[in-house]
Amino acid sequence: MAVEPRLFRDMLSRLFRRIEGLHLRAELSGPSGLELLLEQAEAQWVVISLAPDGALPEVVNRIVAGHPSISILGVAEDGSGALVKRAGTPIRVIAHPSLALLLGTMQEAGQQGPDVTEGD
Amino acid sequence: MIRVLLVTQIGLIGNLAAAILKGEPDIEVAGIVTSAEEAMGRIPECDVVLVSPRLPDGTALDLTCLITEQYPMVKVVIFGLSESSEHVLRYVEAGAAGYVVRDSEVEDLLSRIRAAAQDRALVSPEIAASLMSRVATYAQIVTNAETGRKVTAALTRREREVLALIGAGLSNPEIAGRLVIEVGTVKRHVHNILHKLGVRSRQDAAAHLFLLEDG
Repeated sequence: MAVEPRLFRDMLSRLFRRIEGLHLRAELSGPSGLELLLEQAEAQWVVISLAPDGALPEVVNRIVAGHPSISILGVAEDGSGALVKRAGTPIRVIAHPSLALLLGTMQEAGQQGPDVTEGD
Repeated sequence: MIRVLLVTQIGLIGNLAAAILKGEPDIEVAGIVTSAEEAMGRIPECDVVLVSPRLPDGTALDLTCLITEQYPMVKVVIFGLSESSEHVLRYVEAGAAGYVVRDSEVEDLLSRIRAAAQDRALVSPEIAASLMSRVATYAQIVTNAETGRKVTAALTRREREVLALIGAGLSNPEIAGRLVIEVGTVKRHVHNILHKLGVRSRQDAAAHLFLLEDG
């Protein structure tokens, strides 16, 4: 997980640690060092902050190209939006994400969702 | 048990904060609402209101004022603020009992909720310094106003009339015409006013007018 700001990251990580079947491998404050870490730690998902313009950061393209099995969950720094990217599929936009929707998305990793989803 | 109401427009943040708080044995989530209007209807059910500063149209600040005025026993904690002391002080002046900045840990959030519920406040050394400086500034303003009031009270009724006309921007001849007195008499009044107020100029004297208006 590479999420800013710290309070948001800390809330997410604390919650992830409570959920059975979810194992948080590492926490970073930003994308720097993420690629190196993925070479060492096996992960199925990367949770990362979206750029200020709402796009996935550049590093995501390199991660997906280098690790096609990894899915990306990008979340806006204020929590108002999210994007899901997997190799070979279009980016899924989650306009108003809820916690249940994000956790459900991560747990149904193999299932392809609609292109645009409205959360609750 | 501390009953906490969450006020945030962002569903994910509300869900996350609620999930974290529900894991605490001494904290109960009274609800999650997305607007100041909704929040006001729920205040009697809670001890602490956790307010996001990102409510639309600056309503977080208004909500803080309203809760503080109407429900003084209920504590407002602002969460997700930027690190700027000016931002924090704005909410403190509005009545917030605590704040949690974006760069905090969850433990800070929990400890500040608990502190607020116990009528205590946890602040960083930087914010404490800003608060001390602000208190000193306010104390100086109050002292100056009190001193100014005493001095202004020493003016005669006629001197007060002249001072009011100085404040309106009138020249000595204009004041003389308005009060139907000699220009020389006006000059004597102005001299006495400057002396009693301990100022050197008509502009400085006019600055004391608000004290006359208050008194």
